[in-house]
Order: sequence, then C-alpha cells, then structure tokens
Amino acid sequence: MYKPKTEDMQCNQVDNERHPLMMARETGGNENVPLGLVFFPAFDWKISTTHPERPERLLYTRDQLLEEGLLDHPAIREYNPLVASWRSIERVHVGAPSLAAWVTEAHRVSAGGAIAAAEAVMSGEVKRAFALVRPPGHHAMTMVHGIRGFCTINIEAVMLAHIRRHYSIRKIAVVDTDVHHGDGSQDVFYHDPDTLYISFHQDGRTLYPGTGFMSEYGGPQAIGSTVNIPLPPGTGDEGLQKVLEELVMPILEDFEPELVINSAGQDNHFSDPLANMQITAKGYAKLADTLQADIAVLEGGYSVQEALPYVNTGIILAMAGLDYSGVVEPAFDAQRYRQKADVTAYIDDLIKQWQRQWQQRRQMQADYLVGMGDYWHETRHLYYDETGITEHREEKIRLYPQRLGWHSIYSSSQSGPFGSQRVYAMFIPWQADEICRRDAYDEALRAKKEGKATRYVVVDPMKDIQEDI
Amino acid sequence: MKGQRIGIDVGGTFTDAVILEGTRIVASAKRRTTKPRFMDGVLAALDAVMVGRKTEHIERVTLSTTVITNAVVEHKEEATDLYIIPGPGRNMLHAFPVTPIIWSGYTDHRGVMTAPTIPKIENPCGTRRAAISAKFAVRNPQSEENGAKVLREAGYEQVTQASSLSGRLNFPRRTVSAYFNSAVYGVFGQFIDSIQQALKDRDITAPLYILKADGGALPVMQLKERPVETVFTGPAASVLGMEALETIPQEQAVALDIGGTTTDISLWENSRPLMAHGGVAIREYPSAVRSFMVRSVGIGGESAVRISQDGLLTVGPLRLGPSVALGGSVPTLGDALIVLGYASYGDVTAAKTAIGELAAEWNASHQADSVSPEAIARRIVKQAVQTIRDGIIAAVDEQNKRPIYVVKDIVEAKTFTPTVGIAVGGTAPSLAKALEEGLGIPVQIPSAAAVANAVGAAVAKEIVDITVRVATETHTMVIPELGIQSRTSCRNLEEVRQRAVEHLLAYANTLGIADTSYEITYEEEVPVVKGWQDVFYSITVCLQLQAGVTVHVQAED
Repeated sequence: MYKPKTEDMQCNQVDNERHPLMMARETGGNENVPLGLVFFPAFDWKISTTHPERPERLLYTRDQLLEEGLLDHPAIREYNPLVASWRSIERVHVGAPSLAAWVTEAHRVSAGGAIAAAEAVMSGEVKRAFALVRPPGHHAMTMVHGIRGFCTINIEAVMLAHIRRHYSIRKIAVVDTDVHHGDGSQDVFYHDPDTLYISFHQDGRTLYPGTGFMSEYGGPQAIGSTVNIPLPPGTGDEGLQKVLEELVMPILEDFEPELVINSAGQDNHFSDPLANMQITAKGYAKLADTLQADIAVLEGGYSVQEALPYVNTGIILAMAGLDYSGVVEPAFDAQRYRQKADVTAYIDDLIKQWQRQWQQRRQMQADYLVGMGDYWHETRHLYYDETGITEHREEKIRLYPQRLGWHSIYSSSQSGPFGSQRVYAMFIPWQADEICRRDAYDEALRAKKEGKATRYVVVDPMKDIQEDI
Repeated sequence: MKGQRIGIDVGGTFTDAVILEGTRIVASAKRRTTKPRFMDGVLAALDAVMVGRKTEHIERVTLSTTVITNAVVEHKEEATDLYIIPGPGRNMLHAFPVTPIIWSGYTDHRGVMTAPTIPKIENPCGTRRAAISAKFAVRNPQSEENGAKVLREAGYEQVTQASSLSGRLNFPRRTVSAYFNSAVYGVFGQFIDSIQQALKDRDITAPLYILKADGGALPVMQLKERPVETVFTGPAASVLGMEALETIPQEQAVALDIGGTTTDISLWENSRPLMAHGGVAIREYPSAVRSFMVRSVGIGGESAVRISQDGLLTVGPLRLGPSVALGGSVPTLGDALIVLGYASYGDVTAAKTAIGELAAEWNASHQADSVSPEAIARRIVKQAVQTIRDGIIAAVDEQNKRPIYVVKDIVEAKTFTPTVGIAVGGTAPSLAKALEEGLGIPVQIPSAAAVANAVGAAVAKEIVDITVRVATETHTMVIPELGIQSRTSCRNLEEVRQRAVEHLLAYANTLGIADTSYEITYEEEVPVVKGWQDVFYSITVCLQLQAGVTVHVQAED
C-alpha cells in the first residue's frame, strides 16, 4: 500500500504543508478501534423544501446518536468528512455539459465523507467505518446529465475509485441494501469483473427505478459480477436474513473480495413512505452484523422520524461489535409486520433460482462471448426523474481474448436546462494495460473524426486523467 | 475600603490565597495543602492573606476546592441508587459507576411519550440518595419529574433529576452527572457547613462563591443542589488565572501549565480559552459537567525518570517524591534540566550524581559505555517534550474533530492551528528552549503570578447556562435546566432567542446575579416538514451569562 496523494486528501482541514502540531493521518493512532464514523447530516442541503432529501432527513438520527452517547463510546471514533477533489470525481463521472454544472459542494462533502471512511479503514486506524452522509449517490451513473433518484454523483463509486487508485486492492464487493435498485452503481460497475455488485431491493415491477432484475447480471466482460435480487413487497426480517445467509454470503465466499462495501440504504424499513417492505431496525442491525462490511455508506431511507434514528443506531452498534438487541422502534408491531407466507414462498424460490444462476456464471460468460467478435454494442435510454430529461446512449466495448477492453459511451440529451447535449466519453478500465490504453485513444480519436458529439472525453482513472481530446 | 476579593485555590501540593483590589494583587500566600483535612490548609492560607486587613473590606470570597474531586477520585462518594428510563437502544447496563435500576417507558426524540413508565422502588443500596435519568428527558422532562416525585415519596431525601443539570442531548453523560451529583451531595453539605462556620468565626460576612468546572463561580448555596459542577476546578482556576493575567496573545495558542506531576494543556483563541466538547470525565465516565478544554499529560518537573527492565527510559507519569536536587531519591525531569544547565536550584551536585548513575545504568543495560550523563539528560528532556507534544496534538485533533453538520462548516472549515505556545509553572522557564525545538512554534514564558490559580478563582464570573428547545409544530418550549415545559408562540429563531434571553436573565436574577451580559453558545434552526407540505421548525438555542473574567489583573513583579 502506498500513501494517498495529497490531492485526494485535500480539504480545508489539512493543509498540504502540515503544521507541526496537526495530527498526521498516518499517525492517527493504531489502536484499531472497531468502528470509524463519519457523520455529515448536511443540514443546509436540500433538493427542495418539502422533498424527501431535505435538511431534516438526518436531524432525528443526529439527536438519537447524541442522546445514546454513541460518539463517546470507546468502540467508536468519529471522523470529519473531507471535500472530495474534482479529480477524484472525474475518475468516475463525465458531466454534460460539465460536472461543475451539476455537482455542488454538498455532493463533494458527501463523497469526501465516503473517502474519509475508506481512509480510516485502509490506514488501519479502525476495523470498519460507516459514512453516515448525504446527499446519496447510488442512482448516479457514469454520465451526469442531471439528478436521478435524488443522486448526482455516485459516492460509493468515487470512493471505490479512490481506493483502487491509492491501494493495491483488486476484488471489491458492493452490497446494496437500499430498497431501490442501485441502477447508478450497476451502471458504473457493470463491466468490471473485479467489482461484484450485489443488490437486493423491492422488485422493479413495483418500485422506482424499475430495473434490477435477475437478467441483468453483468456486461460482456463481467458476466456474474452483477447480482440483482428483486424481492417482493412485504419482505420482512425473516426473508432478508434468509437471502443474506443462503445467497449473499455464499456468493461473497465464492468471490473472495478483499473489501466489502455496504450501500446502506434504510428504506426497506416498515415505515418508509416511499416503499413497501417490512424490515425493522434490528433486522438492519442483524444484516450489518452478518455482512461484516468493511465500509458502509448511507444511501436512501426517508422515514426520517420513525425509522432512521433507530436503524442507524442499530447499524452503528452492530458494526462496532456492540449489543443491538435493545434497538426496537416505538412504532414496531410484531403482529402487523410479520412476513406473509406467500412472500416467504416467493423468496425461497428466488433464492433457488439465483443459486442455480450463480453456479452457471462461468459457463454463461463463455457462452456469451461465442461469436461476439471484437466489439459489443448496446443502445439505451435513461430517464432523469428530478431533471425531467431522457439520456440516449450508444455504448461500445472492445473485447480482447486476454485483457479487459475499453468502454465508450456516446451520450445525448435534449431539453435539459443547458440545452441539447452530445458528449462522447471513453472509459479506460482501471485494470487497463498499455495496449488497451493505446486502442482506447485511437478509438476516441476515430469517434471524434465522425463528429457526432460536441465534446470528446477520455477517462483513465488510474492515471488521474480526464481530458477533452 | 470595600471591593477586595479573595481567591483561594486548593492544589495538589499547595493551597494559595490572594486578595485582589481592583486590578492589583494586594496580598498573597502559599501554604501546604493538608490532607485529608484540606480545610486546615485553606484556613491557613486565608488567615495569612488576612493579616492586617479588615473583614468588612472583603466583597467576595471564591474558593476553588478539591472537596468533590477528591471524593470522586478516591471513590468516597456515598451509596446512591441510580434509576434510569433508557427505553430501546444501546445497552446501558454497564455504562455507569453502579448497576442502574431500569424502569420501563420511553420518550422519543420528539419528546413524545411512546410508552408509560411504571415506577418500582428497589432501593438496592439501602440509601437515602437517588438519581433519576430518562432518555430524551431534555425533550420532555415529564417521566423524570414523575419518577423523582415517586422516589421522594418513597423516602429518598435527595433525588437528582438528570435533565436539570444539563439540557443537552447525551443521556449517558447526564446520567453520570446525576449519579455523582447525588453521591457527593452529603460531602458538599458538610463542606458548606464547615467553611461557613470558619468564615463566621473570622467575621467574614462577604458571600462565599465556589468555582465551577466551567470557569464560572456561584454563591455556595446555589450549588448545594448541583455540587457535581464543582468537580475538577483546578484546571479551570489555572485557565482563568492565565486569562486574568493577560498572558495569552490573540492568535490561536496552546497554553501549558507545567506542574510537579502533570502538564495541563489548554487551547486558546482571541485570548479566550476554548470549551471542551462534551464535559469532564469523572473517573472513566464522561459526564455532562461543562469545562474548559484541558488535557493533562503525565509530565512535570518532578516526573520520575527510570530505566525499565528491558532498558527503556521512562519519564513520568509517576512522581516518586521531589527531585534529587531537593532531597528526593529518584532522579526527575528537574534533575535532568539542572544537569543541562537550564535550571539551577537545590543540590546541583546531587542532581548530577543521580543522572550520572542513571547513565551508568543505561550503559550497563545496553552494553555501551559511551553515553554521557548530559546525553541521558538530553534524552530525558526530549522524551518529556515528546509526551507534551503528543498531548497537544491530541488536544488539537479533538478540537478540530468538532461535529460538522452543514456544508459551510467544512468548505469554510475553521481549523485550529496553534501558532504560539505559552508555558507557565515552575518548570516552564527551564523547559522553554526544548519546548520550542520540539513543538516547532515559539514558546513564551510570561512573568505570571506564583498564585495564578488563586487569582483565577478570585476573578471568576457568575455563569449559568440554559438550553432552550422549541418545536413550532407542537408549540412546545422546553428548558430542562429550569424545569420549564410550556406552550409557546415562538415561530422562528429570532423569537426563540429573545425568549431564551428573558428566561436566562430572570433565572440569573433569582440567583441574585446582576450581570445581564450573555453569550449564545449554540444555535440551530432546522425546517421540519409535515405531510409533504407544511413547514415547521425545530429550534435550539444554548446560551449562558457572558463567560470570562471580572477584571484583568496586573502580574506581580
């Protein structure tokens, strides 16, 4: 492991030239505290006054954490968030017309919170860390034409790119436990065979964003590296725990990740106003206890009074290795929120189907590439609900027999606040070798000659490059 | 002439007394602290400064006492039954000095009672003292109030209600405060009786004030119900003394009070000391008792220097008697400073011999013969400075790890970065050069009064603080410290602030405090949405009477 570059650590907390009496991160202590906590409620950020993403969202969580005295507990060490550098965001995202047009300081602090949590873990100061931050990020895709599902930039993806850039970590698993399918995270990780993205969520036929089915299981170079587990409305603690123990944990065991990240959405809660699940705070705590994620990052969860204070207390206690058996919401009613028999049967069947599909993943990968040739193409449309625009995409991947290939996106949108957008982005994978890089630039220049776009951007995350060509 | 103020500070080794007249120190005395009867030392110092003075000239007597500190440090508190209403959440069974009696019921973060409390008296300690603490009682003190009533009816003579001590969120801290408050109630009562008798015997009729950990002082009877607030006032007296003597410059600074056993580190900005985040820790239990941000490290002029079995040189944290130069048997940091020529007192030859023996011991355990006594002395000083430096770094880190709730706070982060050090205490001058080198900032040695702590006690202002929370949705206002829970028409921060000031000044008035200057220490106004469209506000205002010192004092020559 080598030391993080100051650029990524940059924030107004720590000057590049360190004062003799300021704590150096590396010497922050090696006591290996069980849990590092980054708490950033962003009381001055909102999408709009009455939007679910409003200043109040983590107010009661803050009150509960303070009242429980959790920040005084020796098993928990608090960290300030950082301001994520533009460079760290540019490893993942290309903006239309630009990132600066959409990304606010709040987004940078939220992503910086995730990076601070990751640094606390990677430096060995803490065993695990929880970035309890907002705004969220898991609906944000590589291309940013606006706000999707309350998200602008994907804070976990920015954190992951930071980790890959600064530490020698190959295999990372992201387990997304938000009630909504993390279509943004899926988009960012879809073609990376070394990033396993597992999402369980309320079935897309009944909930935003309407994706996340079993049939979406990874791009042509990464079959089986996306695992979507669409659960029926009414899933309770029992079903969730079963999915974890019989599906998620065995898959993780097979994948052997060096790091496990939890996109810790909290809207599976029985009181959430935007979804229809029946998970309790203790169910979430048990999930955290079972998963033993290295880093958790808050995503959604909009039952701000009834759920979040208790869910977050439960997750923090579980991640810190403390007793969470006493975390029970005042509004909990065991009778009312019992999981129904048909839901249990549906989940049992789903687990079986996935176990079968998981066992076949290697064969599916091999079969997929037969007769595919050197390139893979796809065309898609993506909707930005907050911004009210549709992005049209033409994606292309270079397939090599022995190495990972580049991934290009020609992305256009109409009628957004900045008018018509036509951006071409070439994403060089983090595993790229020099041949892949050279071919990527050649392809981008070829596309530029075609002249469909107004901007041509190459992104090379391991070289900290995002450049217009 | 009227207008003289007496300050008395009971320290670990010495009890100091001063008389201030305006900005001048007109009398001072230093006497040995007496244990266990510390009052003997207090009265000896008092009598010494009163020689040739008229008692009617005395306007106020302020005492910084160790009576409560000693009681808690030495586990001499009285048996106290601790009743808690924790509701769901973290397991609190082992969070307190005694196993609590847990009552059912819950009040949630909004102050809504979601489950009733069914009180059940257990009296496990067979004591007449009890404390009661409920989670979120600062949002709705009802369950605590009811509980306290039941406990009194059951025969407890003294019941501390946790939310009356602190209106801030932090149930375990409030609970710890409440427990110790009841547990030292009797000790404090006896202390009040004996000191008042002593003053009466001397015809001193001026009001007696006791220093609090937050640097304020209140008339002794006002503290009768809140004695826990007088714990750990030594560092507060020291900090106030530095402030009164104008020893700290405007810039962000770190002050070191280097004593015999410990160095107290405090942080300063605009010549004012910074406050600690949560409160003091009583034994290992964080409490809600507010205090200056003072961190102690185990380095002082008489820190023992030893070589461990595996050949490691250790400096402190123990003190094993005075320096060899002053007749001790174990070499100290002070002896090392003498060897290096930075200090010169006592038996210099004895100090040199002791450090020489230490060097021989070092050479023996390292199979070397090259390390000179001077080199060992340098190593001792370097190590001592290193320990102080680590303490400063930890203090600065703690200060900079403030909760960050808004984007503005991090984008425009105000980072605390000390640019100057100030060292006081007997060892400070001889350690100054090594401190400058080790800390990388200039270190000033002010010509401070030898009785700075007693000065600090004498100039302490009257401070009381309250926490006002308003929920505009339910029109409720709660001020836990005053036991107020009422309906309010306040609808915005400005209105709440006004109401808060009225309540604070009315409260101060009932305590006989004339001062009407105040400061707001925290404010928060968060919009709260109901039914996706109605906007209300959750407003919190913390305010206190203006902190600081009554006068700036001229340092003695």
